[in-house]
Amino acid sequence: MQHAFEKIWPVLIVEVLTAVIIIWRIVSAQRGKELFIRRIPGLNAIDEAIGRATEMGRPVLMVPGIGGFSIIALQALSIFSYIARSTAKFGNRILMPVADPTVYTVAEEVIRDAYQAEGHPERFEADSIRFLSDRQFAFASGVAGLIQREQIASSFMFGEFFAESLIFAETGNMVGAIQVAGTVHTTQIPFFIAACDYTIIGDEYYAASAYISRNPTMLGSLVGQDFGKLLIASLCVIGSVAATLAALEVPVLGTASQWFINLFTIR
Amino acid sequence: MFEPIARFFSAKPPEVLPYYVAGAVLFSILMIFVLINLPSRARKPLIALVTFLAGLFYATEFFFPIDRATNKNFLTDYLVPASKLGSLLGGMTLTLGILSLLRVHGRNIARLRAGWYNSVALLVAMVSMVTFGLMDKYGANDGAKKVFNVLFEGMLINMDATMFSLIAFYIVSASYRAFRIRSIEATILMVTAFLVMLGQVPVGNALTDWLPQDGTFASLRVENIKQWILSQVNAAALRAIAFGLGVGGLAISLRIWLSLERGAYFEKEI
Amino acid sequence: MATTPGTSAPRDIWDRLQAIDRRVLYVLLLVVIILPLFVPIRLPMVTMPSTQKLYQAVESIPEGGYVIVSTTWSGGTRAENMPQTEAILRHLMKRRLRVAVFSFDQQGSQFSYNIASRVARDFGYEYGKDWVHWGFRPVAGVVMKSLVRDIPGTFTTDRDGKPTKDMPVMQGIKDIKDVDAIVEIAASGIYMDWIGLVVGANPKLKFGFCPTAVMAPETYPYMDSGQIVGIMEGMRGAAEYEQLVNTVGLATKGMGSISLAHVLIMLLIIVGNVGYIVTRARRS
Repeated sequence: MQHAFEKIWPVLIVEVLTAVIIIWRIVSAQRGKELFIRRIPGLNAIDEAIGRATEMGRPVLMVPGIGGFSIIALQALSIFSYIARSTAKFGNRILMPVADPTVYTVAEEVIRDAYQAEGHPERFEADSIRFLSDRQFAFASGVAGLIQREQIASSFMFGEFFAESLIFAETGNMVGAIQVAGTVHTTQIPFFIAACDYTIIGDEYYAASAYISRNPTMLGSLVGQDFGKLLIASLCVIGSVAATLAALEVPVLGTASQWFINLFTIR
Repeated sequence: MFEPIARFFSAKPPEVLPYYVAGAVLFSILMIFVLINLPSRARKPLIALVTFLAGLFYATEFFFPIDRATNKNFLTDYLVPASKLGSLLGGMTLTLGILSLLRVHGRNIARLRAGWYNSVALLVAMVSMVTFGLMDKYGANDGAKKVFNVLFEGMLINMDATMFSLIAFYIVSASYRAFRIRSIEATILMVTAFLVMLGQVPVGNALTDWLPQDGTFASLRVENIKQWILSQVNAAALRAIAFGLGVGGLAISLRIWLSLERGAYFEKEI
Repeated sequence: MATTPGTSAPRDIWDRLQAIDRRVLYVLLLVVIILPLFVPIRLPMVTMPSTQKLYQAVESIPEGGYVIVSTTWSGGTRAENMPQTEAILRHLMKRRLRVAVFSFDQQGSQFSYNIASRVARDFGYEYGKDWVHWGFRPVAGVVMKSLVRDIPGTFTTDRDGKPTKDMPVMQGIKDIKDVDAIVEIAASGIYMDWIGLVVGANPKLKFGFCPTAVMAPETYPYMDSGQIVGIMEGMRGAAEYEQLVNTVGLATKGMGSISLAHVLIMLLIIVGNVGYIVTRARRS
């Protein structure tokens, strides 16, 4: 590729195969196939957290991380759209500090739409969605200040988080907020687990919108994802067996195994 | 095929540049006007088409075989203009972001809300940084350069470092609170954390320094146990999570690329 | 759920052990970090395999080889990334390799120039002949893709705007195939971009990564696959590297503080658990 790999075709084949499986499951789901999705406690806790904010009469904080406009940010906005519908219904005050200007403009639209969809456009305050700074620690200090000053009741952190994750989570903990967090950056997961009440781990993050909305397209895509993971897991098992056979120099099988290993060796 | 387009977007001589800029502005205004007034049933396929073509460009550029002599394919040269287009969009939205800041903090000051002086500090800092930054870059005033140096190296960098160092304090309070041996799993987690922490620092290494460097018993040295936990147990879990995230990312990208995602983010009709 | 401060006051000593005021914890941490900076604590240090591999990779580059050092970090992570940058540059210059430094971060560019200038003076390196600084380069993906094909075309000028074309340090360097190693010192996950866009384009290229300690575990799978030749993990990695290149730098001096901070955390966890176990035993 561009062109890092000399052997791009095996990667392309696996990627296309996974894509076909995902699309096939989406089409099946759209045709009305019933799909099961396991319980994700962190997502179930969203309503509990909003309810708590309603009881306490304190704001709900939503942080879409510090990443740019990407699928990760879109996924976060999808979850926040659901949260905003609930807060519109119960009349909670929301705060949504944003670090990326592009995410900010889309976020404003998404939250405004959520309020409109609930029939309470008048409850939407434009100032609740705020661009703070695109510098990591300037943003971190801004969010920490908001948490302290506004004494938030619930905090939702979904998106791309780096070193600032613990600053948000621990400051939220200081003011006694109930906190739900999820990120694709595995190094930040331990910090969230230590300081938050619920944490979404790994690809649960991408399952969130399907879990919340129960939209057939998303549910189908989620099941397709699992099939994709199964495909990769199978390749891992086959690879392990092949590596063993190649190392043992088993006649014929060993050569075939070596061919398979070479297919996926990029260095 | 793309040659005329590339020629159109190439750098222009100064004498014709204003005409191109004026043309681009007029074209943008016209496009926005057309898009706003387009009926919903025409707008949807248009957005879907643009999204699909944009995705197709990057995917084709990535996978299409390259010419060995030039190390690129027929689309590679358009990556930079495409990225510049992204930067332009980012620049435009930054203006909206700054307007948001001015609106929120301007109101705080105008209505003398609690902590309004913090808003004053923010706006003064923002204006100073921009002004002295521009003077440092384009001006010849030594005084301005010195002020910018104080603002940037003397203040901003150190405030960044201060915020980052806060994490050390928060790690102490979070780990003290979180590591309770409430269950078998929590106990395993805590023991593992202890081993990794001990293996990470010389004081931990000193504990098992009496064990031989090589041989069977060397595996019991705390730094080797830590290395084993990180490179075998932890790395395996990280790989599994990475696979899941990769496939999840692919699924969402597909849904967006093929416009299967409509209605997920914007509740109203686009 | 997180408890609201002040809603449940601890009753006895065992309860108190579980709920030490966080301000006390912070003061304790401050003391154990500051103290060793005035009263140095030197303890034996074992080099981790990841650091050793990076060192060996640099050692295996032939004299006069070409190394690109990218410093994608800013003031926030200076404590970890600065000693890493200095340690790797010391090694590269000690080995008389040609060095090109640049950064995808504006602050990182300034920091790395200062560090490289200082180390270059120590080793008698001449700017333009033995080393060059390409300055701050935004939009990482585009720069990476471009440097694979054309290095002089990607970095036409140095950080001061001087043309690089005629600099002796750039002679014979056309594309990524002429580069022996790339070392990225970063506070972010930028290593994925290097692996995806650059590393595979030259099978002989050695890619070393120097992340902050918190980022290191997620890079292990890529060291196993050979896409990263070695990792210098945070300040600890930098201290080990300093030991390997026989120098006492910031990282070595800071290891006492880090050791004591780790011990403090473990002690606090033990104290909290003692309180918890006793309370639970009483209740049951």
